[in-house]
Amino acid sequence: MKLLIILKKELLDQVRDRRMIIAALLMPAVIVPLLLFFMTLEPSKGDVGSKVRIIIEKEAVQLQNLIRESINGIQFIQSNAPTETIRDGNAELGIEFIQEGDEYKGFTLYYDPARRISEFTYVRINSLLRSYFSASEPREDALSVQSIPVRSEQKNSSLLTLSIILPVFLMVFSASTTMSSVIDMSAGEKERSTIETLLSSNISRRAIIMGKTLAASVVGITAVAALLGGLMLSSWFFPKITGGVSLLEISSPASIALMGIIMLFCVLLFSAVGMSIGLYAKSIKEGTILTLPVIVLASALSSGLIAGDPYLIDPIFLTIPIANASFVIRSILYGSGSPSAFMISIIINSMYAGLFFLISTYLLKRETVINRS
Amino acid sequence: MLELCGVCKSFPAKKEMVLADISFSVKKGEVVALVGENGAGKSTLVRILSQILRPDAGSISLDTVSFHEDPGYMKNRTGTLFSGESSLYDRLSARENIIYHARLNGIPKAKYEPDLKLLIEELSLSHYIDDRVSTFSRGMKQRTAIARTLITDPEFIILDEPSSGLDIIAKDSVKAIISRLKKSGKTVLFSSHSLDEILSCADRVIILHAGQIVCDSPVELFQSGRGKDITSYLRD
Repeated sequence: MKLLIILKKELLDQVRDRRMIIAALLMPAVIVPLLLFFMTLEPSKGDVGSKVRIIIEKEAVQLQNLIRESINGIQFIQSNAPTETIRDGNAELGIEFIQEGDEYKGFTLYYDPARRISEFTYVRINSLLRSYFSASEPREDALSVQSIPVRSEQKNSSLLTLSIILPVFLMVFSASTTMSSVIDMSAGEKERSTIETLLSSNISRRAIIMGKTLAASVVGITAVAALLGGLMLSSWFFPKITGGVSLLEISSPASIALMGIIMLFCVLLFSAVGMSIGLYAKSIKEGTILTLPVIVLASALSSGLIAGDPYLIDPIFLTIPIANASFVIRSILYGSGSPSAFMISIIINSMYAGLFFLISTYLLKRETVINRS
Repeated sequence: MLELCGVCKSFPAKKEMVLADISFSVKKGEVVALVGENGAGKSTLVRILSQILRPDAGSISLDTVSFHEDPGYMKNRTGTLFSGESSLYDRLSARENIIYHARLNGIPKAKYEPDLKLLIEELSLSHYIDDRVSTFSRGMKQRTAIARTLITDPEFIILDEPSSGLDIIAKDSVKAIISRLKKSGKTVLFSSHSLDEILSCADRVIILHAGQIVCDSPVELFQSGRGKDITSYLRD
């Protein structure tokens, strides 16, 4: 019961902190959709035509007209050193060709794969030249290969976008809000000298830690709910921000709820880690500084497996906290969520949370925690 | 009755003992003033009595129940006001701070509500009882902290510099509260730097100097002028 008294008081205290409301509700619900919106302002494959400069070695009217007819807004320029010109950002593509009479025998394309617009231009021009100048009649004995993607281009784009940004944003926002909240509840007690009265009350130190850890977890899970809710709503009305398909069209409400459950255990872990840091720190400022590496680590762990396949994982990676949850969230997005990976993630993150809970109990029991010099 | 026998305390950061062989007893209903210069060990003793710190040696008991054997017994019967900042939650109102402490100590609503009314009246808290503590002056905070200490209706009350930061009127109300507690048979141990407060409220004076008790005498000794001046005990 006393645990609930602490939980209720801490939540009331946090609700009255305007900064916490902004951090836990407004930022995840608004900042993430805004960020995605600005990301979509980058040129997409369809926008390649605008202000693209192509180096062409000599006058080639037929070729230039062909490109102009297919892609709008192309500007042809001359350069003796196409590689350097493109590398310096003064052109997006270079074309060299071998011509015999009116017939084109071969093309060499220069582009900068590190620049999105250059790569997109290359893809478009490459495809155009191949389709136009390749033999129009396929050989009779040629093998026919047909490629059919299993998802629409829009859904692929949305899946890629969400599987990259969602786990990272979920971890970073939940870690930062949970830990700033738990630091206020632990190091803040010392800074305000309220810890003495609290410890002289007839309540066990374990109940104090448990109540505060749970209260901070409520703040963290609120941030998770705000982020998922904000993303669901904004992508529903503006699907462009998630690549053309909304989060709700990619994942069912039940799948999103599963992500929430996975995040609940990550939040519990962040809360327990933050509590240990807060009890070690002398002030809120010291505690906040000490939590920064943890937030960076959470971000690194959540993005660590992004390059991997969302369906396959080496079981050893599932023992890494946060990284395992990040993998599970990605696999849920792809519709493959393995129940064993889900359970392992919950167990591992809970175990680490339990370990930090014990560390917090030890720290609060030490008398030097109160008078640390 | 509170009994301390051979209580010692040191901290790793300090070479000397903060408290050395502290032994005294406080009878039920007695009001004892704890006097000493800054750093004499008063606040450390208060923290030990509140079970925040553990003594390195010695024993403490309340009504013959030992600290070690039953820590909850003393916690349930002790109310402590710590020195320094008033240690209140800024984002909560005065009322919420007081009720939170009462509930943490297991006091039912039926018990703390009438007591709170009485304390609001006694400490003149009515004008700001529902305001957030962040808007309070030092004196308002101290009165709220005193009310919080007394809301559990403890038998043994420890007040570490209760009138610190208070104006003359508020200091008078602290004296009135100590007198009221004495009349109602409560045991009070308070530390103070105010001679007036000590002489008008205490039955007995314990003087701490460099972590040791240098005087334990009835207050009359200082009132009548027969004994030494209190400050003379604090000089080396």
